[in-house]
Parts: sequence; structure tokens; C-alpha cells
Amino acid sequence: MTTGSTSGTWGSARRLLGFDLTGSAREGANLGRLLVLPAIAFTAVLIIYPLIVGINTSLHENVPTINAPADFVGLENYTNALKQPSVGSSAVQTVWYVLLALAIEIPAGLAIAALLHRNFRGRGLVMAVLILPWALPSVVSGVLWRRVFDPDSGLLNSALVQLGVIGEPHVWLADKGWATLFIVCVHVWGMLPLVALVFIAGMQAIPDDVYAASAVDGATPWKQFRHITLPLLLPSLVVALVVGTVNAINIFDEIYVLNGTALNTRSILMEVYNQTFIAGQFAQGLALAILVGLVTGALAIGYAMLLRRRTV
Amino acid sequence: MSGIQLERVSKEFPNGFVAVDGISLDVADGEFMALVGPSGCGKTTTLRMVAGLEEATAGTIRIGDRDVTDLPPRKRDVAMVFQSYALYAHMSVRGNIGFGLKMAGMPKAEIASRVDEAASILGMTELLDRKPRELSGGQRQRVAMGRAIVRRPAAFLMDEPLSNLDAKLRVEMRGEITALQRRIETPTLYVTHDQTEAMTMGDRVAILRDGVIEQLGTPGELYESPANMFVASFIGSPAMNLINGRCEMVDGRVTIAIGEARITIPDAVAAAHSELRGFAGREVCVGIRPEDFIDVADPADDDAVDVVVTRSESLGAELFVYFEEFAHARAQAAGAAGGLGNVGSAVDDLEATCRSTMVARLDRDCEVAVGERCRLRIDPTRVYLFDPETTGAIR
Amino acid sequence: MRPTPAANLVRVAGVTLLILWSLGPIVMGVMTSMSTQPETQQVPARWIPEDPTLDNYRALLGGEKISSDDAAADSSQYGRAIVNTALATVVTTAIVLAISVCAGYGFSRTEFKGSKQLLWIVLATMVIPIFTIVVALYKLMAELQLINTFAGLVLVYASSTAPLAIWLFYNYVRDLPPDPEEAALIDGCTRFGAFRRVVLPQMRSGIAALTAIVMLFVWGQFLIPLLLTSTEETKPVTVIITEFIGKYTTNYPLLTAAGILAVIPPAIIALVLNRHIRGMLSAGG
Ligand SMILES: Nc1ncnc2c1ncn2[C@@H]1O[C@H](COP(=O)(O)OP(=O)(O)OP(=O)(O)O)[C@@H](O)[C@H]1O
Ligand SMILES: [Mg+2]
Repeated sequence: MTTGSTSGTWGSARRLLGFDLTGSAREGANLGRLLVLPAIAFTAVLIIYPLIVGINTSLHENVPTINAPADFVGLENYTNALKQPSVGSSAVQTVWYVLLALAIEIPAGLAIAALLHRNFRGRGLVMAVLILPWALPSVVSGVLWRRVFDPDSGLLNSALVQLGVIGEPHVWLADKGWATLFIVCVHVWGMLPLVALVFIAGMQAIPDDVYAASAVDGATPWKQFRHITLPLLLPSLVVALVVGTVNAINIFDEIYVLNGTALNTRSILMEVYNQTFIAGQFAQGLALAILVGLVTGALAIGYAMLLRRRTV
Repeated sequence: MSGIQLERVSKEFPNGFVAVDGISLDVADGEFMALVGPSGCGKTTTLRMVAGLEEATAGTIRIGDRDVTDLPPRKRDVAMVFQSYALYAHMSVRGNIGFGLKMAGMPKAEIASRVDEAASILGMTELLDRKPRELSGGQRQRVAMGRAIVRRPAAFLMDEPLSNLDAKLRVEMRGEITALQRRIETPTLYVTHDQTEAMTMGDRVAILRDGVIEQLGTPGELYESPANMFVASFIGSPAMNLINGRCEMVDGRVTIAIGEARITIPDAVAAAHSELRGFAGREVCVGIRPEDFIDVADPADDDAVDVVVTRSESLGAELFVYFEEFAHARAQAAGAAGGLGNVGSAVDDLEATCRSTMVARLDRDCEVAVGERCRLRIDPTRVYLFDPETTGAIR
Repeated sequence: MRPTPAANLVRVAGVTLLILWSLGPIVMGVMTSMSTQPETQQVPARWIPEDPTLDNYRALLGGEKISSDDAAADSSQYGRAIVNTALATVVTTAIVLAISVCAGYGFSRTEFKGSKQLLWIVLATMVIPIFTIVVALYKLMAELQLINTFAGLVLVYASSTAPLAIWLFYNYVRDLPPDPEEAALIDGCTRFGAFRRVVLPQMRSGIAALTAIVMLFVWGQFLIPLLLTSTEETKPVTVIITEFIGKYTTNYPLLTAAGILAVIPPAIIALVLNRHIRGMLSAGG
């Protein structure tokens, strides 16, 4: 088909070149500019500008008072931050949080979705209950679970002693392994609803015909899950991975409530918090925060690329 | 002169796709113009340009004698019925119908009387206080119509307004819409992909393909003298049978050979097609409408073909007989279709239309049995001939 | 297809387990909050209070003073903290909602030079971890004397919530049918008129969902106020709650009562608007 027109009037030519929008298009463009303006201004002032200030600060010498002039030190803050032993241990700890959280959230989220994606009587109520833990402040999640793990008046200790599993109360949160597990448990309690919602939406997007057709073709439920549900659920899986990972990297509140800033369970964000606000090392803390941000962004992009690779 | 005029209107989307390519169309005042064509041919885009929802990238649009090309929709004085009806879910039926009048700043009392009038015309007075979600599909369709007519606009635009209705209601509404339009005499541009709808409703019908008008005419003109094979196969149901044949001169008379069969074109018909003599000894594409077959028993009869019935469908009043005759001719058709590649996109349609299964519409009392041979006479005055190279009709 | 009895059993068991898991901690918290402190220190532990008491709730809401021996905060500070949280939540939500409803619509329904690029910039800021911004904002706010002020807190809340809200709403509007708006344009509305009279009402469910999500998000903020608030006049409930935790002993009934009270508004929002919330979260995800 040939492009363009043979019409030679001035108006048409101007329109073709995009000089002159028709009334409606111009109106739309103007309204659009007006409507996005607050968001743009807001983003520029409260996100992009602070980000630039932050990056700039992280490249300068740390100064005790904020307004004091500081020398440019390049990446020194970054290397210094990485040299701290507590940074290394909290980074490793955070990796554990992420892996454990995903290891629970993904299969459990899938299971919940398999359970709830089809309609049944009372489903609405179950769904409402499902999202409740996600809606609660994570600080409160920590508070609600805290008594379970308390060494003295803890419900877990009490139950285990009564059952004779352990002889005497155990200080769970002092034990790095157990403490990590329990913190993840509390974190997952709050995050699982979101992951499950993502999977439920994904499963509902798969038309029922596909299942009917494959059932006619003789596929067993497992084969259906393996060959139909799972591949079609891949986009949801990536979203769930991104959501789960980003939230686990940023884990803070639950740890703070359950175990304070104790080194054995300290997450990387807590380390940033400590360096910046407890130790007053602004520049170094920012450097570390930016590094965490880069890793988070890289992971998100990595997941997105995983999705592209698999679907092409 | 009022009505709707499109002058060499084009639409090139930002991605470079030209959906509408220099369409000119003139809908006279009070005329019902149906715009029909296969999916994706640019019908909706054309309509949206007339409405002002889409900018024309070239050309001029006039409504009621005003150049509206650069005007926003609200200044064009058109009403549109959407395929989805696009009702305002948060307003009652009354609010929906009266919205346009309210926007025009009409006094409340007048709005109320106009809305009531429109509602009574459409027979939905008792629905006025419902919300759209409390209506059936057909009722929603009526609200959409009411919203359009109450405004008394300079033009009606309708984009497949009946396609979401069930078959029976669709036929009913067809009649209602045309009657309504006759009554209020507003020029109407009506988009549909259903040729029956276009043929039954339109004063004139424009057939669109790939953003270009293939033919524009009254339903009778389109049926009687399709300009090309595309139009020929698009109009009529079931579609015209298209098959390859050969134009020969026998004893000074034009004869079309289809496989073993010979059809002698009456002299008067041949004389009316001055180009036909030039095709002597050449391939032509022969079009035979299903309704132009006549069942005959006499084996000696001319202008007839022997067919083996593969399937028959009785619709009560009529009988559709499917057959795969012209086995010999079919091979030629395939060859011709291949050779037509240079005609561009015409070739896709050819492959669809030069299909091997043909169909004839016969009287219900014809006795045909599946698997049996049967001799069908073809009305020689009603044979359509096309140039296989250009796909155009031989005139 | 009719579910087999076995499948039904699995469903019932699964749903029961899910409800226990979701509500268990909350029910346990309610039990603890109605116990007395000595009761919670018994060995073996008492799960259900012998004589349920509302004393802790009374103290928290009535400004009475109960505390753990070595905790930083006591119950008399709680009422103020709830008010602080509620105020910050309402104001932040109003700001974020106005910004993101306009921008979400603007980006998905109108086109102008550079609109795609701007959208990308705004959405890309979602990847920037809140902490990077918070640290820098802390520095900026210290310069502007905004630390420990209500205004400062709300601005930071908004900046940490707006990109997500814009993204959610952008997706939402993109999936809305555009024809009612177009019908309104033909019916005589200007673009703005159609936005106000037809599109805004059409977006009601999305606006409700976004309101709920932003409110839940802001209500639960902890890290930001931990950094930016230091006095009773600004500290939100989440921060006060953590100050009820003693260094050596904790008054669990008081702590959990504080937690349960802080949970009531978000729980109500989540339960009442859960259909809308689910719709928007799964569409955005
Ligand atoms: N915004 C757009 N950008 C690019 N191409 C488009 C756009 N909108 C439509 N098209 C293309 O333009 C062509 C014409 O579209 P249009 O909607 O007018 O078809 P139609 O004739 O109404 O078809 P249907 O009967 O299926 O509704 C199609 O091929 C479509 O893919
Ligand atoms: Mg269309």
C-alpha cells in the first residue's frame, strides 16, 4: 500500500508534518500536560533532586555537620563501606532472607492460588481474610509474633517444653539460624498474600478452555500444571519474584521489632541505618544505600530479561 | 448541499500504517450510507475521523456544509453509536440520553421533553430511571440510539451497533434503525462488516478494502455489476462461485469453456460487454451466483454442467447443493491464482474465492441426492466475467 | 466439571489452614492483649486469659500511664501517636491520590511531545530504593529545618508512595474502556469536561482501591518516621509501639493491645475495600 496522500491543501500538509494538531488533539495534549505536571514536579523535587544530592554526597568526604564543606573523594566511601565486616555479614544475612522468603513465598503462593483461583462458596470471605496480613503494618506483624518467640514468656518455648521436645526454654532469637527462620516467617506472613494475589490473577487469566482441551487430550492434572499452568504463569512468576525479592531486600521492620539491630540478624538496610543514623556516617551510609539500590535494580532488570528470553 | 463529504481522506497511524488511503465519499442529506468491508479494512478508522476522535492525516471532511476537518468532536454536531454502546455507567438512562443536550446548555424542561419523546419513539419510557447495568443488551442498544437521535445532529455515525445482539434481535433492529433514519432524515454513515446488513439497510453501500473504496453504489448496482472479483465475492450470500474458464469464439459467438462444459453467452449480453471480444482465446474468471443455477434433467441441454453433489442443505424454502465439479477447471484456477501473485493482495482473496467447493441454490422440490450426478443449467445471461490479471470486471 | 470428594477435602483442609495461618497471630494477639502481665509470664504459658480484661486498651486510649519497667514509652503517649498516624495518612493519601489519579489518566489517555519519556522517568523512580531517597531527603530536610515536622514527614511519605501509585493507576486507566469518554466528547464535552463528568465517575472503583492501598501503605510506615520523628508531637503509632518493647522485659499485654488497636483501621479498610484492592493489585502486578 502506498503511503501519504495526493491532497495538496495547505491544511493537510501542515497536519501531515505534525505542525497543526486538530482541535481535539491539541486539547488532549494540553490537558495531558496539565494533569501530569504535578507528578513531574513532585518527582523532580522529591525524588530526582534528592537522589542527585544523595549521589553527590556519597562522593564527598563525610562531614560531621551536614552543611560543612566537604572534599570530593570519589568512590572512597563506597570502598570504605564495603570494607566493613558488618556490611559483609549483613549482606550475606540479607541474601539468606531473600532466598528463604522466596523459597516459601513462591511455592506457598502457588498453592494458595491453586486453592483459590476458582470460584466456590465463601471464596470472597476467604480472599478478604487472605489479604489481611498484608494490610497490617509490618511492625504490628512483628509485635503479634513476638510473644511466640520470647525466651521467657514465649508460647513456642512453653509448648515445646510441655511436649518434652526441649528440656528448658531456648533463647531462639539469639540462635542465628532459628532467628533468621523466624524473621522470615513473620516477613512471609505479611508478604504471602501479595504473592498469592499475583498468582491468582495469573491463573484466572488462563482460559478454562485450555484445561478442558488438554483434559480431552488426556493430560493428567500434574501434566496440565507442568505443561499449561506453569508456562502460562511465567509472567506472574516473574512479577512474584520481583515483588518477593525487592521486599525481602528491604526487610527492616520485622527484624527491628523481633530482635532490634542485633548483629546476628542484621539486614543490609539495617546496616545502612546504623552507619548513617547511629554512627553518623552520612556519606558512607548513602554509598551503601546506593549500592543496595543498584543491586535491587539489576535484579529487577535481570528478572525482566529472564521473562523476555523465555517468551520469545 | 449538506450531508457528509469526505475528500481524499487518509489516515496514517504513528507506526506508519496507512489504515485509510484517500477515501472520497459523499453522503447526501438524509441518505443512509453503509460502509462495509472485511475486518481491519479501516471502517472504524474512517468513522472515527468523521467523528473527530481520530485526526485525518490528509484530506477534508465536511459535515452539513462546514469544513470540520480541524474541529474537535464536540463542535462537529454529530452523534455516534458505538459498538460497545459506551453508555455512561453512573448515569440513569434519562441522564445518558439527556447528557448531550445538557452539554449544549439546553433548559432542563426542554431536555426532559426531548428525552421523553426519544424514549417513546424507542419504546423505553419505563426504563428511563434504570442504570445501564440493569438493562439487557438490546435495551442498552436502544439507549445508545436514543442518545444519538435526541440531539438531532447534522449526522449519525454508527459503528457496528448491532453486532452485540442476537441474530433475531439484530434483524429486528435493522428494520427499526432504517425506519427511524427515514423518519428523521439525518445523513447516516453506518459501519458494518456484515454485507447483508449493508445491503438491506443502506441506500448506498461503500465497499472498503485495505483503506480503499473498491466500489460505491446502490445495493442493486453492487449485486448486478460488481466492479471486481473482490466485490463480487463479498456481496451475496452464499458468496458467488468463482472459477477459471476460457473465452472462445465459436461460430462468431462468445462461448465460455469451463472444463468440459460450454456456456454460450447470448449475443445481446456479449454486445453489452465490449471488452469481451478482446478476451477470445484467453483465460477469464467466471463468476456464477448460487442462485443462478437451475436444476435440469435433460442431458442434452446446453449451458449446463455435470456435477457430483457432495453435500446438500435444506433451509426449508430453498436447497443449497454443494459440489466439487470442474475438477479440470479447478486445476487451472489454482494455476491462474498463482500467476496472479503480481496483483498483490488480490491473490489472498482469490484463493479463498476460487475454492473448490461450489454451491448452488435450488428450489426446495429439486431432487438431488448426495453422491449422485446431477446436471445443473447455468443462466447464461447471469454469468459474471472477470479479467484474471486485474481481477476487474470485463465490461 | 464437578470436583471430586477428594478434591473437596483438599480444598476444605487448605482453606482452613490458610485461615488459621492468616488469623492465628491476630487472634493470639487479641488473647494476649486481654491478659494480665503476670499471666503472660506464667510457665507453662497461658494462651487464653483467665479473666479477660480491657485495662490495656483503656490505658492506651484514656492516656493512663502503664509501661514496661525499662521501656522508652508508656501508654499515655499512644493516643497522640494514633492521631499523628491518622493525620499523616489522610493528608499523604490526599496528596498522592490527587497526583497519581491525574498523572495516571494523563499518561494513559493523552499524548503530547515527550509524554512517553516522562512516563518512563516517573516509573523508573520506582526502582530507586526508598532508602536512598530517605537518606538524601534527611540531609535536605535537615537543611530546611523540616526534620521532626509534620510537613516534612508527609512529603517523604508521599515521595515514597507516589511512583507506585502512579504506576498502579496508569495500568488501571489503560485497561478501562475508552469509549464512554469518546462518547462524551461527541456529546459536546471538552477534554476536561469529559474527564470530570464521565471518566472520573468511571474510575470510582480504581480511586477507591488506590485510596485504600495508599492509606494502608502510609499507615504502616516505620523506617521513615523512625528517622524523621523524635518527639511525641510527630511520632506515629508504629514508632511508639516499638518503644513499648523493653530492653529486658516486655509488657506483652500492653504491647499487643497497642498493636491490635493500630491494626483496626487498616483491617477495616482491607476488609471493606478488599474487592477493589485485589482488583488493582492483580491488574497492576
Ligand atoms: N492506533 C493504531 N495504530 C496503528 N494501527 C492501527 C491503529 N488502530 C487501528 N489500526 C489498524 O488500522 C486498520 C484499520 O482498523 P479499523 O479499526 O478501522 O478496522 P475495521 O475496518 O473497523 O475492522 P473491524 O471490522 O475488525 O472492526 C487495522 O489494520 C488496524 O490494525
Ligand atoms: Mg471496527
